Amino acid sequence: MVTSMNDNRLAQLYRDLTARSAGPVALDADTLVAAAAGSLPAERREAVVSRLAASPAEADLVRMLAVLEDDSQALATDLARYDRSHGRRLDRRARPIAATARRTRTVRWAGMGACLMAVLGLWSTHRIGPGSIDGASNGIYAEHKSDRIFTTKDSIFAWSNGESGAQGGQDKLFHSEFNGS
Amino acid sequence: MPPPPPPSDPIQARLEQLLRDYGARVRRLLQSHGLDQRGIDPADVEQEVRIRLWRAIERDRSAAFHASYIQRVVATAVVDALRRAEVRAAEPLPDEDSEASPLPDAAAGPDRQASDSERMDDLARCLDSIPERRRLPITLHLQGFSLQEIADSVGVSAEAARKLVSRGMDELKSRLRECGHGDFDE
Repeated sequence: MVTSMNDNRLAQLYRDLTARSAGPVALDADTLVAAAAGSLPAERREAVVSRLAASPAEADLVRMLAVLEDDSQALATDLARYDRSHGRRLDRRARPIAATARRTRTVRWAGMGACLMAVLGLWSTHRIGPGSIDGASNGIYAEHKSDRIFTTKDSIFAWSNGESGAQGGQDKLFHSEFNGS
Repeated sequence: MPPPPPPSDPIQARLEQLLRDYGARVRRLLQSHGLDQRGIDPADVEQEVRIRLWRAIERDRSAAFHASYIQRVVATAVVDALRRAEVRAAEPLPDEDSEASPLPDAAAGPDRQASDSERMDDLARCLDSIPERRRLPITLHLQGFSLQEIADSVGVSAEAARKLVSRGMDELKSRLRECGHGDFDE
């Protein structure tokens, strides 16, 4: 079968052939960008170019990236302008925002400290309350009693020394009993 | 649905406009380079590029965005879309009795499909018979690269690339004639 083909038809046939056999995308984004920019490292150039010749999708993408390069450069320049103007605005707003953040942190820590103190206070109240308390309250009571005993002893001691006041009265009773016997 | 109201912050509005214009340019180039014929939706890629750039700007407002970084964002978005399209193409077709079964392409009848398949096999055989050094410029030319791009890729001058391509194409056509594909309209 003899058929007529021009270069375009031949190219289309080749692209159909390679689309059928190319398989999944094999080159990564960095390599595709480098190929579009013509900055492939020499040691990888042959392998990458062979892959591009065999994969219409990757070849189309590289050509598209080459055309897009000027637009990407323009966008990068515009974004740098945006960063500068936005950065100035950010600086103006950054100081009050940072001060507010510091105040918030301080209040938060003070609140946590107050909560901790309250919890410790409640805990210690429960520890010495009426239900749990034999040892602690007995201790206080014993201390109180011992004070009174000591006071009694002081009185007895005072009485034995013949001091005046109440002890003087007791002395009188003792003396009356003594005298009555 | 009416378009969303423009942002009140003029700088924010300017940034959105920049990304919208760039995304629209990406979409047009995807279509003009035939990438929309490979199972990807240019509108999806445009949206993806804008979102990725927006996130990068929000992530680090003080970072300098070089053109190569923006190019990588576009390349990654397109590669991801192509890979997703390949996965979709590899998924099994619906059942035969399903109403959504694809209709055969009316333009490509069985005779033409068989003829194209035969031509492709012959083309592959003829290309394989050409030495590697001469084959690479031919295949790049058939893949649509310009002479200057071929020269840059192969590492020769534009004139040398033109000679390599011209002689290589003559050789390829000669071999195809031997296989029965005789006439080439220049």
